[in-house]
Amino acid sequence: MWKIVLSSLACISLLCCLAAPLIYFLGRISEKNYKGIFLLASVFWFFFASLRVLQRKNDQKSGSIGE
Amino acid sequence: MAISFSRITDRMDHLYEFDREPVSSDKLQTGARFAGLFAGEHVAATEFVIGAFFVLHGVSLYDLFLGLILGNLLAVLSWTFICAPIATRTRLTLYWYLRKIAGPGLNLIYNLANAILYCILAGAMIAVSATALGLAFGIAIPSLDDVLPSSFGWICLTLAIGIIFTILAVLGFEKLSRFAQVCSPWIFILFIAGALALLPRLGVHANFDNFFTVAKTKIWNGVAADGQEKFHLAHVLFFAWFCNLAMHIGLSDMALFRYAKRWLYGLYSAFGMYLGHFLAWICSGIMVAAIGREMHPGLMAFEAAGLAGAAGVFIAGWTTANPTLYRAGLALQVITPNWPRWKVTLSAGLLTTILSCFPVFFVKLLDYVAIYGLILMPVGAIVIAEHWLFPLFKIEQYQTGKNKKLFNGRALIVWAGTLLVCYFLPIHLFFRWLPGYILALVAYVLLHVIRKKQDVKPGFAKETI
Repeated sequence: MWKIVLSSLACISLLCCLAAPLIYFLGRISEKNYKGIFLLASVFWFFFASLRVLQRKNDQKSGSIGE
Repeated sequence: MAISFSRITDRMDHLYEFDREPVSSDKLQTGARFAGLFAGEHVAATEFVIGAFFVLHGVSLYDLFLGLILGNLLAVLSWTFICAPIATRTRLTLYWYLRKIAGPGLNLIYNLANAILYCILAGAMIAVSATALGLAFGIAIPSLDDVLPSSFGWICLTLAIGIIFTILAVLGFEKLSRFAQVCSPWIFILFIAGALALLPRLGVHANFDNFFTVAKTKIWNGVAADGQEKFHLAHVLFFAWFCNLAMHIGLSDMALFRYAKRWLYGLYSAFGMYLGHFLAWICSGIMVAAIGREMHPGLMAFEAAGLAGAAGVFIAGWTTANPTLYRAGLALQVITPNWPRWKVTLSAGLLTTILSCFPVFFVKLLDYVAIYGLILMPVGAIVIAEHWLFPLFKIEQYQTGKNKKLFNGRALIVWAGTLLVCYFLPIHLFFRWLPGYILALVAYVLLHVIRKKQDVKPGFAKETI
């Protein structure tokens, strides 16, 4: 369950990283806002993706067959 | 000398012991794994520099797109038709297969050459990271003509980053590898985001209607920067092809493809080529054009994506330098008796750190990549000749391994001779590897054919007598 939640949140963060420059390119947000959103989404990506990797490592240690 | 040499090669064998047996069928990997591996490996810090250099070398839009499409296709085909078939047939790493063919002595030389080349590459990665961190301290980065360190600040910066990277590699290579897995999708997004965000600065409209006009006039306008050689279609095509020459034609990716179910898995390399060596190079070209054609990866990414961008360049340099330092350490371990891994990685790191101070490896990265592939390419030709051509010419394979020789003298002659010929070839550095490769193939087979005839003659004479 956690794996799915973490993977989903990580993917959403990465999509936000991609959406921010697109919206800026279309002229809907300012450069400052784009860079702020990109930074925040990047921090979330690293947080969730790292947790996901740790979760996977724990699963492997405990011999889970989920992977 | 011979005794100490064999001791060294014994140690080397021990290091690679876990790779000695061919991969068993239960350990084969899925195609998706290969796609992910290639996509992650080929979106690296070097991409910030290479794509930008094409702009500075005055590549035109047409030459760039056609060159990259064809060159990357040739690279994919090289993995598919040259590297993967031999790997899936032998299920061995290049290390063990080369040992059978060329002997442990030549294997040692190959390893050492690889180690030094890895150190230089990691040094270039440290320099890329330094361009990002240098922004915070206002340190000027070297110009495109610089060979020696340009300022005291640059030396301090690269030394500091090199030492930090080395310490981190010593403390936990595996943890950093996992961190690199987390980084690679984000770094790819950073390329796309950076290019997209800088397009308005170049005057591209939100509906993309003038993109190609802007691309032709402001990005790949065919005008080389001052002091830079003008590149054409052939330069781009050949560069995209030989960028990973040591891996495909040079066969070092046998280590990877021995886990492939079929040789056709070589086609998965397209994920690395067309995401990293196509899209990412195009993106970095857009970024460098938007900042006034200055070779400054850190500034490029900072202007494109702010603090996250500069951090991205720093992280990309770090995560690329880390495995490179590890591989260099592994290769160097053979000449450092009884040294623990940390000590060897530390030594490789210190050598790399010193090399990173010299901007020549960073500002001449394209030439360095060409030389790197060129030096290791003849080894790939030797292995291909022994594996595929020897049976055709009815020459006995693996004579060096069977006779337990330390050196395959003919392989050494072909390797050194090919490099010597390539050095004097009156063509551009980027194109030298191809005639060199053909020469190495032909020369290696010929030397064995001549030897075979010499061996047959005395026997024939005896029988007739």
